[in-house]
Amino acid sequence: MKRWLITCALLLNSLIISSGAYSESTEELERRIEKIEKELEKSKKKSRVYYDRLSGKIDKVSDSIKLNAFATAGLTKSDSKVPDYNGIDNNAWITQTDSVLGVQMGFQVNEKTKITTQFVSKGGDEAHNTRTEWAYITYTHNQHVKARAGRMRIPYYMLSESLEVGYSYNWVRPPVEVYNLTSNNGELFDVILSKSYSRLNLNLQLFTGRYADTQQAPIGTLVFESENVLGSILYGNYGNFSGRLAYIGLDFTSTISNPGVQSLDTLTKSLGVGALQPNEDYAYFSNVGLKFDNGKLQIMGEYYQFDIDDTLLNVYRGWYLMGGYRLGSWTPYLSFSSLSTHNNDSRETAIAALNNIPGPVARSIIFAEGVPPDLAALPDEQINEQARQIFVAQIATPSALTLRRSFNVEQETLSLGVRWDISPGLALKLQADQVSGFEGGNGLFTTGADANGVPNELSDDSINILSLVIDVAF
Amino acid sequence: MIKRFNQIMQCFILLILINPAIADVVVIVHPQNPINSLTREQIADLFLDRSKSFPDGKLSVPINLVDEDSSRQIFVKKVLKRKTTQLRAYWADLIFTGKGKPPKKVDFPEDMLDLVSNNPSIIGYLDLEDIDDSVKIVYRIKN
Repeated sequence: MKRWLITCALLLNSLIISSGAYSESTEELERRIEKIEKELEKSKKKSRVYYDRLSGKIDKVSDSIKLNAFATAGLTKSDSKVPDYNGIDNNAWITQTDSVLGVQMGFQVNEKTKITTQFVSKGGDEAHNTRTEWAYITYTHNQHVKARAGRMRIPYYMLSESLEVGYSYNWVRPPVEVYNLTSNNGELFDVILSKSYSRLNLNLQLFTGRYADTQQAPIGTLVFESENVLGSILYGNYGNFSGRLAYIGLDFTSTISNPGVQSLDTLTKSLGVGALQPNEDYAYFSNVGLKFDNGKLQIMGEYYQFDIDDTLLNVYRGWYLMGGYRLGSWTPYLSFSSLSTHNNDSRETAIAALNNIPGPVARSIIFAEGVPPDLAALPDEQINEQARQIFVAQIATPSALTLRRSFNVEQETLSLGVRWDISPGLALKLQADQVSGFEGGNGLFTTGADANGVPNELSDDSINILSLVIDVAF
Repeated sequence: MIKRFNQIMQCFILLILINPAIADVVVIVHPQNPINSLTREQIADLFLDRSKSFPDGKLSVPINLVDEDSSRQIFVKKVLKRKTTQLRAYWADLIFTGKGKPPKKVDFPEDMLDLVSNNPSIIGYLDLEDIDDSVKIVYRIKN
């Protein structure tokens, strides 16, 4: 019993002692933890400061350089008897026509100066492949005055500057009946003045510059050039409405690769009935555009006309109207567009002049290298008459066909489509077009030519095109 | 049957009581900004870069919260009346034509409060719970 008691006392004692030692070590541990916590807090503060500085630096860098990109991948096919229309094939699904890749980089030099560069590569066979490179400086004086200088596109239309950014509009491609004047390589200087009157915001853009561009037209390769472009554009918005009025004047020079057209041009110029290859002739372009978008309903329309003084070239009037309605992430849309040339009369005048060519003139052209020996004995009047008949058969008649088929352009397109916004920055579009109303001309179709260089007649009354594209922007 | 109905009603009342009240979202400016109130349309014009100045002609700099923020989602739906996908298409047009750019974004409500309370040009929005008297309310989005 006694022994047991001692053992107990000893045990208890050792317990007390050990617990004392335990309590000692706990205090120390707590102290240590406190110390560590303090150090941790210090280093946290340090790293927070460091992080803030770093993120501040990152913010500054990301603020001064902005990178945006867009791309479109498309599939399209037509049921035309004519193989080629804007690069669209009639017997195979092709991917190139609507495929685009673009990168835009903005570099904020300082608070007021910014450099913007954009590179766009549009897919297609060699003839339809276009590359655009823009680079311009923007100087923003304040919210009312801004100036830009550099390489950019001449802003003929409402969507000129975002033409390749498919993601920004409903169609697979903006109506070709209106968007048929492009100028990829312009050098421009502009001033934009902005003023607000209550909710009405108005901008006046005044610009001057020059441009040169190459375009594939049904008749051949067209090279445009203008050394003096002067334009004024008034655009603005009032809430959900926005609008635009443009007037652009330019001295217009163009050449066509087609040799038949070149010699016809020499002839019509000498007869004084107009030029097919204008040389610094005055041209003027006007455009009006309106847009409404309240988040659900979207309506958009544009009208334009393009005139060149004393020309036999096709000068156009075109318009479109598009309506779309957003149902969640689906936007069905309907669009109608129309294009017509409004100088068909001047071509008829030229055709009449060719058919009624004076005998001596015909003789100087047909028998330029001397009258053939079998006719030489005839009286002058009869030689002239012979020359006139040959001229009418060999030159005037095919020229009339060329002028009427390729330069009298009438075309309408009815488009029905749907845009599906899959996620922010990604959209899929399906569009069906019915192109018709050619009125005996070839519209904007490339039909090929016969042995004399006369364009073949378009045998379709109506052509259907189906297109599917994916658009991204980031 | 009545007992059952009472049970359902109790559940319903309980649900209403425990449902966390979502506070209103308010559009805010610096206290020294002379503007005291704005209309929904005026605010939409500023945040869609249709207008670059306050109604008194002074420069305006709108600031957004990040897309995931619930106040931003309410703001986009009730003030801009657009969907996020639509806004992306809208900005794509303005960015690539150089006609405008979307407002800069901040990650946290504290950053928004900090910016608005320090710069008379800035206009932003926050949950009513997140603001203090360092900013002035110019529009209230009823939730």
